[in-house]
Amino acid sequence: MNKTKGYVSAIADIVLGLLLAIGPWTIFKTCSTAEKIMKCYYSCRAVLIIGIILMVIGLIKLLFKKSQNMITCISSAVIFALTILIPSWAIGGCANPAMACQKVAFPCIYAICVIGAVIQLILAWKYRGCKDE
Amino acid sequence: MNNNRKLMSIFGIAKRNISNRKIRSGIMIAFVFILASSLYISSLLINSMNLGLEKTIGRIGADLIVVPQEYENNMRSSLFLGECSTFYTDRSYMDKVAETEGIQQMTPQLYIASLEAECCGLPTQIIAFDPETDFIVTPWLQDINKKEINYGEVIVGNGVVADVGSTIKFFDIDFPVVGKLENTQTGYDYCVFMRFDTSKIILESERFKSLVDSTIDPDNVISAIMIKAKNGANLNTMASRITYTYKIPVKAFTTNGMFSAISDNLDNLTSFSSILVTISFILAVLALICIFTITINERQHEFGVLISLGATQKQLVLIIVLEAVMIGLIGGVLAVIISAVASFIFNNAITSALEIPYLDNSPSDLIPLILKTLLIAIGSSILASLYSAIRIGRAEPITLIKGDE
Repeated sequence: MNKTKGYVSAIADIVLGLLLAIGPWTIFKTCSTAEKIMKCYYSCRAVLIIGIILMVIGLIKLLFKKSQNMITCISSAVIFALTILIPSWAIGGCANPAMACQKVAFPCIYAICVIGAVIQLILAWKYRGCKDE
Repeated sequence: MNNNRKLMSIFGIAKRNISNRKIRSGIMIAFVFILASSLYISSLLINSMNLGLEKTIGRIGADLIVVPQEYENNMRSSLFLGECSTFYTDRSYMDKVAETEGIQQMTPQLYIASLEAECCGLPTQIIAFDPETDFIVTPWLQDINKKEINYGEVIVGNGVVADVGSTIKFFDIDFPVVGKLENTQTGYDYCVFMRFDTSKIILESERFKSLVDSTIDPDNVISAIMIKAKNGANLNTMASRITYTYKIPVKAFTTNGMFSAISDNLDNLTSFSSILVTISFILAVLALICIFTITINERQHEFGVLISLGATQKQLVLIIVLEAVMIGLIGGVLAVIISAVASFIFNNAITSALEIPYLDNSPSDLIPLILKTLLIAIGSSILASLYSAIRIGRAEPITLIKGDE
């Protein structure tokens, strides 16, 4: 049972991290940088780095069973939750709500982060009382 | 105390039945979730559209709107959604329109769309008004403790990205922002307002002439005439007279008539959503009835054991109904949380895709919607469990004890 939880946590980190890293540049594109580079571009760059970090954490969880525990789930949940602050507060994006970043890219980032945080918190809750193998 | 303990144990049995049959419970919760989330989302969209329409009509403050022929859609989109367009006609038509009986006040307005890449990358609707005759924008100024705006100044709607004291650039000209209107949740929130004489600065600018229209006569253009009728005047007669009698290329609409297309769409949307919710309701209830019936048949032995241990048939019925309540509650709560979070996060994308001015996410309107959704989720689940509950309630205890034999 612990093994399944570990794999779910690792795969969630890898898949959602990958979406965070490449999503704003491919699937849910942010504003165009053809004319000038806006704040949303830097937000998405920061999110890309965090996406890569999450993928690395996921790979570590997948390869090293000892890292599959409540603490790593909570740390992933915290990373997902803090990622929300990058476009919403720390760096921000275009002020106009009709721009592509505010309309599509940022909402998708928020949704991915909420899903990731909820999954990791549920797994962390399930780990409570379990002894490390 | 004894009763409480009994209730606790019944509640505990129902809870364990749900948690120990994960797949069955999961499927039942999923059905309730689909019903509740479709109800929540469709009600939210319809409420938002209704409210947006009501607020727009209320905010306009005119009884009749006269627009150049073929530009009624531009005007409607501009007022309802804040979409940008530039359109104008000859100012001299105002004299003809003024001959119409029943007019108490009339005032012209001019609609100009700003260029892209100005004002945060997207065009903004500029509305010019005549301060001497205006009865539409001027009352809004009083709401922000301002009596008038001067030549060269602008006031902005609440959704426009510009602060009071800053400047806003249109056609390469900077205009000082002297006021920001209150949030009205209408298309006007994304408009910028200026006097007619200020709009002449734009119309005479090189950039406007080179990119939009070089032949325009700034002193002789208007986009719309807003009319306030005398009490008791027949608005439809006035509108027909303006449209057909004077042989001028304008069309007059009553304010409600202007938005009749949106209102028709809203009626269609309401019908579709009612059908969708009814189908989801029937499907969810039927599916839940099937699952309850099948599992109750399988669980006869379990109920027989409970009866052997001293449980009454009334308590068995209560266990089934409590299970239904819990399934309805879990499905309903999940549907409300996920739908509310999704509608909050994707607010801008939804409003833009469905062409509604805003999504009504205010707590005062959401609380009744949440309660209605939960009530229907729990109600449908209880309704589905009734058949099984009645069957168990009426079964002979010995049949239950024998189980499936």
